[in-house]
Amino acid sequence: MMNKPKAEKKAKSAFSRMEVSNRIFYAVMLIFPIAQFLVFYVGVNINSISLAFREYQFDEGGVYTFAGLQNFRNLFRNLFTMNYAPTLLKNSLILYFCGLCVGVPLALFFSYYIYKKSPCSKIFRVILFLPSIISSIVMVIIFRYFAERAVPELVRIFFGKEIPGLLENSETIFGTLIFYNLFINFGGNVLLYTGAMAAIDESCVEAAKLDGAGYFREFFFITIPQIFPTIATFLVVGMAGIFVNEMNLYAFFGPDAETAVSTIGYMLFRDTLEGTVSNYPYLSAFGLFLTVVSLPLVIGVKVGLDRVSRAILD
Amino acid sequence: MKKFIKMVCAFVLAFSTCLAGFSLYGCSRDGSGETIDPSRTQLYVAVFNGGYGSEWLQNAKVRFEEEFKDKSYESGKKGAQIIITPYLDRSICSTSLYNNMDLNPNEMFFTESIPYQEFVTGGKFLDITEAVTTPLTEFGEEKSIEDKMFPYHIENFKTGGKYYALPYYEAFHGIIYDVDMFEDELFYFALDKNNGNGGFIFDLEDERSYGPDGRTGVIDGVDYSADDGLPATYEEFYQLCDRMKEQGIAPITWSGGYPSEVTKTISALHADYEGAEQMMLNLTFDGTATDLVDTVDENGNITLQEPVEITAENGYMLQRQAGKYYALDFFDTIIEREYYADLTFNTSQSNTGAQEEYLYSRFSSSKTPIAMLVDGTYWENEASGIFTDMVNGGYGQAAAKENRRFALMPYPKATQEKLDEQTSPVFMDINYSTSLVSSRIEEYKIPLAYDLLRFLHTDEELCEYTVATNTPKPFQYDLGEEYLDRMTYYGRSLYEMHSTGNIIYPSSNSPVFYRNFSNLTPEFRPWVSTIGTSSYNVPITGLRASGVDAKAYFDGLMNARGETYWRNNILINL
Amino acid sequence: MVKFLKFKKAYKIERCNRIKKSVNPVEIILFAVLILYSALMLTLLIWALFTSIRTRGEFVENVFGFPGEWAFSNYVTAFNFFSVQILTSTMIKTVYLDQMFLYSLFYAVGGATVTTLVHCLTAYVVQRFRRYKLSSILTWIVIVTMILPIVGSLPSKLQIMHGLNLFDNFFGVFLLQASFLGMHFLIFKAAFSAIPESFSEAALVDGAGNFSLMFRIALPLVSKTFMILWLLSFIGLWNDYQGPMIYLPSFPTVAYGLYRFSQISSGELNSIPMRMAGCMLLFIPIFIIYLCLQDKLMGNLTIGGVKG
Repeated sequence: MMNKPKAEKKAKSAFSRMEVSNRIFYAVMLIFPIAQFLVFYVGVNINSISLAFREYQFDEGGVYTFAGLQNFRNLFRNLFTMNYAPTLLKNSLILYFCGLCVGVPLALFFSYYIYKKSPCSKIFRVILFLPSIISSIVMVIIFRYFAERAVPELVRIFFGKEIPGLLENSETIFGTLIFYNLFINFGGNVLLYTGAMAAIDESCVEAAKLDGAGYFREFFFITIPQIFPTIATFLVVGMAGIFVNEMNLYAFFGPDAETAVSTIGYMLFRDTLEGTVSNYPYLSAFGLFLTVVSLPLVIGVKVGLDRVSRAILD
Repeated sequence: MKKFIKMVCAFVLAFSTCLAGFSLYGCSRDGSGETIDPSRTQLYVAVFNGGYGSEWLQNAKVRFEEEFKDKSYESGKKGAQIIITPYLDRSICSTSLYNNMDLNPNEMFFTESIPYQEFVTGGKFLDITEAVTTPLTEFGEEKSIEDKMFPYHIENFKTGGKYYALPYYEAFHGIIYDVDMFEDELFYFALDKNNGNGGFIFDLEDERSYGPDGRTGVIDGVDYSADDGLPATYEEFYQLCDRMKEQGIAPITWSGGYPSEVTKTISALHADYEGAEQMMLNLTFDGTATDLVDTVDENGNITLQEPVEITAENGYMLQRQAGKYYALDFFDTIIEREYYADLTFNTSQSNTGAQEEYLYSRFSSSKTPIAMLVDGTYWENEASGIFTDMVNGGYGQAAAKENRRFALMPYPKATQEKLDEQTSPVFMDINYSTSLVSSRIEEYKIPLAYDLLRFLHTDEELCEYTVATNTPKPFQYDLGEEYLDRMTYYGRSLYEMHSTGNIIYPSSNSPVFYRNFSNLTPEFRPWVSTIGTSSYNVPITGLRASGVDAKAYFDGLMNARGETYWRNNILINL
Repeated sequence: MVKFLKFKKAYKIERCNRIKKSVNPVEIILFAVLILYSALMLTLLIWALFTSIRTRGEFVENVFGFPGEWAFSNYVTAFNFFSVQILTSTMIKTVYLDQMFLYSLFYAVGGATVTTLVHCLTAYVVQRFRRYKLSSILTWIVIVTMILPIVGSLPSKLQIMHGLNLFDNFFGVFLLQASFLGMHFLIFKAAFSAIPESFSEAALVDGAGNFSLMFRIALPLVSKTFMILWLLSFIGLWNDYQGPMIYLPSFPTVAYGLYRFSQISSGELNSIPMRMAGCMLLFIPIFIIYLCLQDKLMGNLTIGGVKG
């Protein structure tokens, strides 16, 4: 809009008429989503968020009263004395970076493979999407029994070696969990990436082919840039979930997951489930603190990626 | 949009086809629920369908409706109808119940993991003092429910002179042993330690050692012979395990998927070592701690501190209770010497999975028999389906619940000195089970709720409950021969322990405790240990990690929940 | 037979040629990785399928074997136990799997349609009028709410649902789901951002109104994204047990039934084969439908079609 030629005075009245109708359209379209948001998000959650600044009163009939920043003070004191906090942070980051460095590239490659209709791509597409259509309860049950019981049995049969279950063994448990999380997440991502790839202008691809771009070069110089907005969205979403992701730990271990494999998201999730109503203010403060920490990161990533997107698209 | 509509249609069609297929199977349904009888007054009751199931309540419902068929609770209606909803999930347990109680249609609940004070403060429970304290004369009894309650329950459930709920079940944790196997394999200790058989009996007639209570025979009307021949100390327990391994038997197993059953057992050993008075300090924070550990040396010998006056301020010092060290050491040794069966640490092994493995192991030809199981006392009732499957799966009646004999092993003592004190075992009744009436019940239904509550606590119903679940109810009542005959061997032995044991209830009216309920319930969070930068929630996982022994884990308890933690997390809530 | 073999050989050669034609190391590596992935996935499912028709005893003896006697009775038992009791004004009613399927279908189709529509339309408006301040505010709201963990909001959620008379009511749940928050908003926004500005400008010059611009030009261009996201929402809701458990106690869905089923700790249902049978009971119908429709569904979604 900034680039609109200022000189066209004739068009001005028409423009403002259009602007008015635009604004009406804008308002009409947004009135429902915003109202819904105000009632079902703000209305419902403002209370929970404000818990961060309140405390539970046992003596006054179980109400929450204003407590200023007390919960945050307690939180900071604990953060500095909690010597396993680095482990949780480390795990959360490993999970994120595995998703970023292994999950995203693989999903992109798989999508490209399907997009290019390489051999058996139809079958692979079906199988990649399977974990997504299976309920996570079912998937966890099957995977857990498989990793714990069937894998050692297979190893015994084929290699004659006795090994403990993959989740039982403290050396393999974290890797197995990361693997599981990558394993089940491809489906939806591949579907979205291939969807985006299918929308790439064929003339672009043809032009590149005429220039002699091969399988690999086309992927890097045509496909990736063309679907970059979709990729960027996933990167931002992944970044936003960095402290919320509980890595399916609750489905696997209930409240008993060990700190060595826990993420920050899991701890918060578990403590909320296992805690009592008097614990809510502290946990709410913790959640708010995590948001404040990750927000600048997310803003940074988003602004950066938006710039890249714009540079690519222009 | 057309495509979209097409797609929806395709889905709908496909599913309808599937539904038709499923409906064919649907023919074999058994009854489709109970109809609400408009001529009677309904009471809606929810029961948590965990280890104790809901069969006991279904049985009691029939008797109650018959007994009260002529009583009118609202005008124009006669009699009562109890509508029972068994909850398979935990949505009526712990804080979930607190959060959804206002919308839950049920008026009475039998559930667990209830932080009592918090619910009372939140006004969730109906004041049931009248029902609890009035003698049960309408049932021909002189005592009131309160008269049948144990003092430790009265202390906890009576708040401000009023009752808002009652305890529901009684659960201990510990080691279950296979009596049949112990007799077949002669796994009992002989009185004569140097009998040339490693201290074990030669035949069942041999005189046995006195067991963990250090006594035998009947003294002052109490029979001390039930534990004779069982390991009296941890040391004897290890000897027993060695013996088992020599004979190709795996000594022990537990659920690797729900390790909390083991943590609760470690907690039970802790309580048994400390005795009621010292253990209750963990909940009351008021009294003198006499056995706090100063240091543990390389050989596991402990040096005690001077007695310390425990208050809210220094409650964290109880992390050094000697019982905690010994309980950890017990499991550390089991792990280190590999006394556990193959799948013990496997996370696919749920508690019922461990029960299954334990029960099958003795019958299956391809399995190593397992002698003992770590679990809660409700395990046998919980495993009912496994017994049935074994009977139907080719093992015949020998595998039936009624025909197999199990018992809860009295906790072995940590040291010879403890054994010499000849204390009766201390059992910790955990899980915070609760029978309660919702405060949202309509006024005219209160008498009905009272009647049901009182009915369920008559002597006869307490006995019926015991028979139905093979576990005692946490009240004082006598089980007659006619009831004992209907129970399994395990149920009878458990009732015996309930009657003679020294039971503690890990709860108190101290604000330190109830304001920090989720952090101070003794069987979970107080076992968090920090060793270096590693932190463990579950002792057995920690103890199994390389380089961590009982001493390290024990010292780590203080690192995790020492003074700083106490100040920042516990005291601030006061 | 000979003919068949000949045909097979010819087919093989042709296939080899086809592979040879486009042979590329990256493609081969990808092929290998995908084969591995598929093998693992199929092993998991086949193992689960076999386990589900074994008896408890067989499984205890050997976790990895073929079923001895094919215990299809597991499925019958699972089906019969796969029930939820609900309270109506006249009776305690037992809802069985067939009815749960209907509830699930209604819940998932309705929810997915509502939520995808709201995401799509909001994202379109926000993207097209991104110069308005409110638009960037809305985008940021979406991102912030994705980061912000909410603690203990259930009581107030229930309170509001109850207060607005939306509790235990499909309409209420759809309203609850008709939110523009979440990742799908961002994906739609990205999809709209990929539409060249010249498109809408051209249409506007032609005198198209805002609505016709949206419905005629913009939405058809993201119809693939719409269907993908609808499908993902559908599957998410199909597998969601918490929503129905909390907000629709009288309309138990299959996922909720499965959740309860998986929690059963006593009785004849707690054996692993029986659990697997329960899982398979849910998985097989969906799987068959998916197989039949996948080409129609995803083929159209991901390959070929309208170009930008």
